[in-house]
Amino acid sequence: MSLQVLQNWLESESGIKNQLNQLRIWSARKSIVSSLQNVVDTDQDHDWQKLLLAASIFSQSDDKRHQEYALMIAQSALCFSDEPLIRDAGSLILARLSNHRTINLAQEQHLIEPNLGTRVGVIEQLLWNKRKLNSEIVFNEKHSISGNLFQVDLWSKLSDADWLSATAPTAAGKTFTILNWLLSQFSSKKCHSAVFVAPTRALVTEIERQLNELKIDHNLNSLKITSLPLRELNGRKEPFITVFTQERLHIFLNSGSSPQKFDIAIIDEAQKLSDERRGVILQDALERLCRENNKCKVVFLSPHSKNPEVLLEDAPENVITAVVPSASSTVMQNLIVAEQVPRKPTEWKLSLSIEGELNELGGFKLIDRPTNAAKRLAFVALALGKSTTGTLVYVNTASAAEKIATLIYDGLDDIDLSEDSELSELSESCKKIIHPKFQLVKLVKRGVAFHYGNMPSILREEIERLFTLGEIKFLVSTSTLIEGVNIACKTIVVRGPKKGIMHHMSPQDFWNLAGRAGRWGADFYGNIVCVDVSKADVWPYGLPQKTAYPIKRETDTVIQQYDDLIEYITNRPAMDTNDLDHKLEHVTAYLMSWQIREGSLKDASPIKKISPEAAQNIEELVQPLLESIDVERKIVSANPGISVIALQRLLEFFRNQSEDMESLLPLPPEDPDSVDQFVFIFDVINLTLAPVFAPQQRVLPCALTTWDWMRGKTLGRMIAARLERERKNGSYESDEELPYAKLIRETMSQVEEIARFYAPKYLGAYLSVLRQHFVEKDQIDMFPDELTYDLFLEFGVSTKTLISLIGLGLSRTSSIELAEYYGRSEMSEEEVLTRLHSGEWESLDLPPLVKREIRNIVKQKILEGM
Amino acid sequence: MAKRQPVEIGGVKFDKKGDALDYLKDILGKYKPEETVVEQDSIFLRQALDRHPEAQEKIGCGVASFFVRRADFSTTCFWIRRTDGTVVRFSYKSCV
Repeated sequence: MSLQVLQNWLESESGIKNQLNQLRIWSARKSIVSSLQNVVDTDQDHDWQKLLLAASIFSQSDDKRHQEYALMIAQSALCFSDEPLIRDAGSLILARLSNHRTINLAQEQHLIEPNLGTRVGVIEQLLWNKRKLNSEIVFNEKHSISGNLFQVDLWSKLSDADWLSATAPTAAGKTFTILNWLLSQFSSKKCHSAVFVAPTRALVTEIERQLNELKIDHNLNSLKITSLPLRELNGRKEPFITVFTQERLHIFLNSGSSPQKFDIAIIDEAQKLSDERRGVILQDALERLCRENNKCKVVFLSPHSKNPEVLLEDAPENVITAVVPSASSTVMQNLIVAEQVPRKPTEWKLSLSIEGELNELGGFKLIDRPTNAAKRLAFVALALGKSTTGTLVYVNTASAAEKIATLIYDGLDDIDLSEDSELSELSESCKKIIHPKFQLVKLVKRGVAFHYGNMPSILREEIERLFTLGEIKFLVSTSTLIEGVNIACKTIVVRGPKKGIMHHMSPQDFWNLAGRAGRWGADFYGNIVCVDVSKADVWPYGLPQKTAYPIKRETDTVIQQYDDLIEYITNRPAMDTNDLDHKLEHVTAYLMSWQIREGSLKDASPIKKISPEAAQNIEELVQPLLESIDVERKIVSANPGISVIALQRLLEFFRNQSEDMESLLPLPPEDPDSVDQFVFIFDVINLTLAPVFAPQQRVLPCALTTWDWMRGKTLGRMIAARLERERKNGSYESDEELPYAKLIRETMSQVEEIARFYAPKYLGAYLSVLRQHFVEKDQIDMFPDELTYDLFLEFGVSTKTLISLIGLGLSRTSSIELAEYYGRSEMSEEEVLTRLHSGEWESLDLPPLVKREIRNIVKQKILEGM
Repeated sequence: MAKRQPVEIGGVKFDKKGDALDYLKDILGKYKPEETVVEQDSIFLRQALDRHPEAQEKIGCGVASFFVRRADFSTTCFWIRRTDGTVVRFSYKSCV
């Protein structure tokens, strides 16, 4: 009997399947016992010798299911056996699975004695050492880690491959590995410039911070790591790493006379190439990187993808490619269903799902009758998470996040953590940075917080940090977590999860979210608790089956909807901006840009995947539309997602204007007519490029938000001004009637959507076409050179001093608070740093979190030798 | 009760002033801020403009085209682009 046959037999009905399931249910019960009031019998005997032998056989398999069986048996033995010998044996299986962090955790929790390697027989000792050596990832002479199977595989393939695609869930440690690898390329001088592309600003900040911390271990103290797309970096002699969103990468590539040639590009959350909103922009960015340097090494990272190899299809010929598939989990995950006991609203039970079958674990009581859907979710989370840490509640909207967090807070009225200095500092900072009536001000005092995309990064990061430390026990979050914030938890509680407001979450997104349950090295078990699964309106597709993401580029998806695309391109020249289809417009823009640049579509990656006849038809349709285009080529390349027809329409608009050319330029934010001018420009953008600020009644609020943001108004003041406007409006009779939470949320969301996303993107296009118009009219001398609105808007500042503070690594919030005390607006990074070093900021009246951020930056800069 | 006053602008007959005002308002509503008025509507507007009490002053050296622009933040109105490139706004209500 071969090993493989034996492994398959073991997990079959005739093998030990029954015992495996028994153990699985038993260990799940034991792991959650502290949260339950009554537990179904946990007093069971197990034939450990037989099970551990099976685990040893399973651990030699490459099959993920087999490896998970091995992990389950090993952890059950380690955590719940009464006999030290059995616990040691469980640890040895974990060593075979390269899971040394869990062994360390067991030692920390005194489940096993230290120095396991010395307590076993000679042969096992040799094997133990061999396995330790095999899993050792050496970053440099001083630093190494014991990697898991995925990390070891990734590290080894990175050394050979030019293009690599790796997929693994959050807890597998892929980001940590890749960042260390990237830094090792700099310390060994194999790389001069690299870009790390992440989908959200939150992730960009996190990666930048991690790189800055890790570079010290690699003796790269002075290595420049930045998320600012500054023109000066382009062509820089000293090595550097940039961390950008796809939008910022375009801003950077547009900034110099010729785009930077990067040696390494890392595309994190690469499944975003399938994204309707940003997929095409990301693909365009990647293609631009490779056009500038066809030897650029490219690494794609994605969470648990079905087809990671598809990302390597566009690799140039003759490069070495590699796929690093997802390995088995490092932490056991329990998929648990929470249901109410019939006719007893406060009595609930938990069941473990194994291959769709439910196995009762035990029961628990809610704090009160859950009279609505929000309470059902909040009270279940409260009951299960009250005596532990790391409970994450997933909700569908920001307003629901605030509501559920408040319900959990109410249930914790016997807890007062306001003595905790970090929580009270966070509370104090929320008051100062946002508003005294912002819900977090009180919530965090009982260790409860919410988290959504539009919150300022300084608060969001602090919440993530305190949640990871266990000081915040409950975190209620929206889909920002799926969008890529590297945060893990012990338990996730969900009820009818949606992505956005409308769509029920796909099983892939659900499992991407669920991948965060179980913190490797901090937990043995991660729980995913699904509430009310039997209700068809809440879970229309039942309990999500474990599936991986199918990655399909957005360009491929749209081009394969051939008839729709053909019709759209045909009608595009005469189309009103109100009729633009976001999805089709992005791909049309991509194709037109390609045709203009290359003269033919035949080599465009998505075109190569359709029939030659269809490709020919598209080209024949696109080509004539471009004959009358005279927008410069570089403008077309610099503005992905905006079609050349739209850009040409804008150029024609300028040509038809008869007024003074200066009247077309934006005004600096300090000019009293600046808002009026933004209104005019946004009207022109709505008319010619895309209706991003439409309908017309929305233009003024958008212009005001953009103006306030760009002149560096703090979010707190913007919120206060909004509240004041609402008061004056007279819609509310008294201050008590003002919907504070809603108005605060809306202001934050407008800043993110309008001021930081649409305004920089479309103002950038407006200015580049306007510049061409000034050149045509021989008036280029009148065009201000320093119109870096895209940069100012992205960061919400308009002075060099503020950009310098942000360049040092401070958040916008801290930079603005600090710059209030600085008289000069043109300070360089060095000048700003000198003032920070002097320590004068310590005596200023700044929010506690701001002071902490400044302190950390100063410390970091000292380490960097600056 | 005021007597109905029929109006005729550019060959189009309206039973009362209110109808003419609605007609002009509908034309205005078709356009976005900064959009140029199409030829067919421009012919009608040009005739309407002649009825403006300050027509001479508004027309100046001649009308090149009409366009729509914001008057105040919340409203839009018709503007004239003159042949010498200068622009001026006018109220369609004064034309009826």
